[in-house]
Amino acid sequence: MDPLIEARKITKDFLQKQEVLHALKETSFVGFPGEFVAVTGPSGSGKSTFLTILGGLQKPSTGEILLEGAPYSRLEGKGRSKIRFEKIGFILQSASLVPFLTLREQLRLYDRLRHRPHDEKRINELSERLGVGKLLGKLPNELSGGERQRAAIVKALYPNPSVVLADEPTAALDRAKSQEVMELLRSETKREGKLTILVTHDERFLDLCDRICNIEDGVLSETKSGS
Amino acid sequence: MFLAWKEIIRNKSRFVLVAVVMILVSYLVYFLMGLAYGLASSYTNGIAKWGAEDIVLTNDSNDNAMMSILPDSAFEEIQAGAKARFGLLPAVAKQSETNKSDVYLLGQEAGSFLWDGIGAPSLGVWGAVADSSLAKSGYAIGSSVSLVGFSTTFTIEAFVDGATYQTLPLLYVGLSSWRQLRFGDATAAFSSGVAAKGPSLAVPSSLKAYSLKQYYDSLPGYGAQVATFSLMISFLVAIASFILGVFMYVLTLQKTSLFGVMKAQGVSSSYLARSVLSQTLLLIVPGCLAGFALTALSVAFLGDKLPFAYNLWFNLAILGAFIAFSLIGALFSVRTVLKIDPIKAI
Repeated sequence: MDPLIEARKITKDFLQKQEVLHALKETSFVGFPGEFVAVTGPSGSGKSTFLTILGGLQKPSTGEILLEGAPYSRLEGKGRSKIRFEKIGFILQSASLVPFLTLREQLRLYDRLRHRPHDEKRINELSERLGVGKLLGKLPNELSGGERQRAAIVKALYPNPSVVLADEPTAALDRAKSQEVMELLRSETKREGKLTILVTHDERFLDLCDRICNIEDGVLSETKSGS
Repeated sequence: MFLAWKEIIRNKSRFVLVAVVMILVSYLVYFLMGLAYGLASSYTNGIAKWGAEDIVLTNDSNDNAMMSILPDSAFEEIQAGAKARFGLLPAVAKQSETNKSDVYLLGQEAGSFLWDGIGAPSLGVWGAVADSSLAKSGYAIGSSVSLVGFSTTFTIEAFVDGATYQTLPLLYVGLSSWRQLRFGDATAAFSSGVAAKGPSLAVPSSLKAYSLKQYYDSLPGYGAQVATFSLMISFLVAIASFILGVFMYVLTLQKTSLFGVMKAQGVSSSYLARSVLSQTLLLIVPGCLAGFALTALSVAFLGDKLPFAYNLWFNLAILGAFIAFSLIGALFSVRTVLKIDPIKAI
């Protein structure tokens, strides 16, 4: 099976007060379709840096990211933005949703930006599976925290990205809702053959993950490997 | 436009304030524009009907047509495509002891192009074409107009709209009638000035030629009044647009985090920038149209109490100025959008 995303010996250095800060030391990573991968580590360890480099939000200082086998990280801003838009879905702690658009409008916005017709069938199927089928006409502030995160998953998956990057997607939820969201995210990852890379502090859900990578002091190590 | 419009309709209370400011300011600007144009027109529209390009007066008149006494011999020396003599005289039209109107008597050479825009019939010796405002003062076609200080009376043979000079109604009369009143002799070989049009105007050294604009600007109070209104209107447009720009900037700053997340999700900066600009337009254009509608409503209500006049091009220019200034203000917001770092947002 071909990898969906591959990080080849990437590093990230920042210049801070005349000193070079090694946020991410030489790291390699390969992710495959259908994998649900957790990235853990203490605050400031480099998790978010790793995630944002994988997501093309910043370039690595050295090394290369390949997305579906094609070099991606060295592309200029507009090119990376286009690929990110088409192939990567983001789920964040909060504010993943546009506050003044209903869930259906959030999805339609993406179709408008892609100049493609609305895929009502996919909208309905996806939203039904994630339990927000009846909430498509609601604004984010009319949804509960759990519903909002499920809606954010629908939004991330609707454009049919290859890779889903989730940054603490359950941080604002209670345990029951967190469990529900994580299970849904995992099941959609498997069902649609996506690669989901999840940055989390919450160790309660690590059992759901196929692989667990830990980052400490900018060094990534795999603590649970997929079979 | 989609994002911009949805935000407006879902945050009505926030945008209503901005829209109300726009409506009120554009109302004020359109109203002032109409008054300024109406007032300026009331200085000049009586002679604008001539379709002349130049006015010629004597050098010694100090730019004042009333003080210009131009001999026919000098008129003959003027070279122009077309030329015609006119005479100007202030007068008081008296209908009764309590009904008197200040007017200008404008004597015009018979058969000349000066009459083309007035659509006058061939006037009798003491016939006159009067500004239609005199009809509201009780005059009618066939009415006699007595002029204070003169024994002769004129008969109104027709009315014409917008025939005023220096804000007063005009009575267009024949040049010989004017000469009779001015010099006591209908054959006096003098006029106040000459209106000319066509290329290659040449005048003798005793005369001075003015373009129509130069002539208008020489009218007492006209230039200062136009400049004052222009300055007021320009400042209002600039200040209102600046305020809108500040509103848009603050609203954009409030959305920095949201735009950052959207950029992280792959929405291009150019789409977000276009959204900010189109939101500005969505506030400006309907705001200006509503302001114009309020102006039209006010004018309909106030009737002829104010010297109001519409000018399509000026009104479009104001809309254009509002749009241009506001978009310039919105560019600061666009700059903010372009600078948003999605990494910071997530």
